[in-house]
Amino acid sequence: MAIPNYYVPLLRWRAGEYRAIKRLSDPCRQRTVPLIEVLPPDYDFALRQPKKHIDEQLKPFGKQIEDHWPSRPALVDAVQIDAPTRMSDGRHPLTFIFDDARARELALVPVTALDRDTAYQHSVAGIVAADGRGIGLRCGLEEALDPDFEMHVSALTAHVGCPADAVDILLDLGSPQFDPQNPLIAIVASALASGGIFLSARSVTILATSFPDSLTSLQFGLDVLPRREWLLYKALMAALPAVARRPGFGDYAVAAVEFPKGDMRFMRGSPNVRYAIDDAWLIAKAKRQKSNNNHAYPGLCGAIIASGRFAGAAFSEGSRYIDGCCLGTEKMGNPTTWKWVATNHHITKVVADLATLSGT
Amino acid sequence: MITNEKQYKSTKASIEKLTAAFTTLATPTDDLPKVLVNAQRSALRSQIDELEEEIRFYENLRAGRISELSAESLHDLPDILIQARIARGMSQKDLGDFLGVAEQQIQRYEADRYRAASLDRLTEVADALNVRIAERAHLIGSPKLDNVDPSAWQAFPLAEMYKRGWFEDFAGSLSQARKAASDLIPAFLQGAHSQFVPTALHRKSVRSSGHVHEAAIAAWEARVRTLADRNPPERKFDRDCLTDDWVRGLVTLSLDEKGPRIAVDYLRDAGISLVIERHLPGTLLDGAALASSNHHAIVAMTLRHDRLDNFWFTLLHEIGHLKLHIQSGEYTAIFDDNDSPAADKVEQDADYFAQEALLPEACWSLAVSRFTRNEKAVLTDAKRFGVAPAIIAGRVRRDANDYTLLRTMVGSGEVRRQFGL
Repeated sequence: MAIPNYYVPLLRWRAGEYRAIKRLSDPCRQRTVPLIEVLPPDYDFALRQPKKHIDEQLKPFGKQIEDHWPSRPALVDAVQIDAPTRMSDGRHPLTFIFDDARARELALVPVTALDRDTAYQHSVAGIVAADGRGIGLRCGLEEALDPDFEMHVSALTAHVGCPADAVDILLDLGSPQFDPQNPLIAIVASALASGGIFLSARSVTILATSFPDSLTSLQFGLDVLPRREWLLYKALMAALPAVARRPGFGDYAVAAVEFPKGDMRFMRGSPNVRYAIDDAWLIAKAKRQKSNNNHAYPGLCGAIIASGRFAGAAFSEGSRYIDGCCLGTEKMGNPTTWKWVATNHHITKVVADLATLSGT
Repeated sequence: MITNEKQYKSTKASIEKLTAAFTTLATPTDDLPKVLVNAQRSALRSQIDELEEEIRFYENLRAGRISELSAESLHDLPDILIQARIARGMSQKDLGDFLGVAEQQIQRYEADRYRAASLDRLTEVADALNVRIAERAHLIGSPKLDNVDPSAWQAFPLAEMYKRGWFEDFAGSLSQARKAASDLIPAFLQGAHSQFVPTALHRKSVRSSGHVHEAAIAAWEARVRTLADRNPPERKFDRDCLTDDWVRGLVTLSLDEKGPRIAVDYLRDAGISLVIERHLPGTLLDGAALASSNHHAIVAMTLRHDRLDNFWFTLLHEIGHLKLHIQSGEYTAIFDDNDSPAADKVEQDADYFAQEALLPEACWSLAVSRFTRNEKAVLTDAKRFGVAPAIIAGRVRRDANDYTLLRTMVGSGEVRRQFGL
């Protein structure tokens, strides 16, 4: 069976990420279905309380989607918001998001999982009934291999009132041990071959990431990190029997499974530029300075360009900015700038890779 | 040993007297039978020889003809210090002056072989005499357990054995037990007839990461055998009964929260005694497999690591020894520290046996917890493969060689409790 050519990047909807997808080219946008993890308000470590009320946090969400990802489908997961959290009017945060999205005519699909609490599933059921767009079912490999998985999924889909052919399966491997790769492929293949929901679902997508939690172990200058999830996906596609259903590809873009949640007042990172290349990322990293850290960026961009792996300024908006920063025609930016640059180029690169792999 | 000139002179005088007596006995007399006269002469000659040897040694020391002194153990250190003083040509007074103590103090030290001296004082004396002590310390012990000397009762952990109540017929105090150790230890060992049958019939092996404290292992074995022999299984052990189905049945017990306890009866029905006895200080044992003289088999476990994964692995490892090595005549006892590397084929075979019994390679190759090392993955694999989650978690930790993983999944603190420890 054909390899799907859509791509599911998991995004946390930080400013750098929604700016990245706004700047995608139209062909690239057509093939991208972001999986958005809605974040709770940041924590104010000085005042020891959330920086905002949940209402303030979620109120701009619909508008941001409308501004940055209009008219295109996206999967929305509220897993990061604590289960007991409710809006001021008592609504579940997921219900609030989808009520707002519905008013804006956004094509969002709610994501749930087997282990979400009853209120969450109840919210999903209400959204399914109102929108009829189905659900995303996010599951780990360990859940998919549970002998009772099919039974649990049937119970869930019945509970939320969603037919199996309106379920988008998101088989999320997280950040697994990628070695040895062949047995891992055999395990994923055995889950996919178990039939049931993997056959009847509207789509099946496999997600993973090998992006590290920290870049501290990388050397200053230029380093290469293999994109193990992409290598795994390609090998899986080659290993699956010709008649088997091929899953789509997803990853965590240029981010780790766990994202920094510490006190940002004390978090200091070295300036770095992340750049997706064939099967890997180039990471250009400079020593942190006491001030003017962004002065390092033109040099870092120069290192990416001089590496021989630069795709050219025309390849993506991210690439164009790197080229411009090196030439001095673009600003040196800040961490948010370099987040959108890396994410925009990464998504463009993966979509191009998938097009090559699927022959489309 | 002659330690000063006064003793030297008196020893010489003694030799003269004994020589005179010896000469007198050379004259035939009717008072005593010839055979007794000869015996007396022989005893005198022996005494004279001994004293002459002491004189010679003292003279050699004093003349500086001896510069190297050897010791077999720390017990010999005081003699070395005395000999070194003599060899240096120092009197007890000289040494006393050197150290700033009275001559009488040195005399007392030497008279009781420095027993009352502190380590600091011994060092001071050695420095004063300019003695370089380069004694080598050899750790005695062989993984084949071939060095245990039943008469070397000092090496046995008497205090711990006493504390555990192993000298069951002895009602005295610890200090009385110490005094009676030369009787208590051999009697304890022989009572368990564990160690001192001919070596050919008693080939043993110890898996360890370093030198083996043979006496401690011998004592532990003796205790284990005593406990097993008190209540032997009714059924004779036959290793052919340890079929794949029987092993599978044993592993399935891991699914029961009282599995370790239930395993005792399961093994008993196969002619195997399961004995729990903590390891002794000086040994790092997880378990042992032993053949018993009365046709049953023994699996002994220390529960050193109080975790379910360790219990099941060690148990299956020892069952592997029973099936593969003990009853095939290769060994009569194998002791295991499973944390140490499996250096030989016997241990590798038992490791493999346990591993395959608990989680066959065909299953493990498809285990999701190999790649996703979290609790959910462990529970899924446990359900898929029909074993306790602790066994899966233990395998993940063992394979990753990371014992910080899945700490809450390995059944910590759940084994000893079941055995009332």
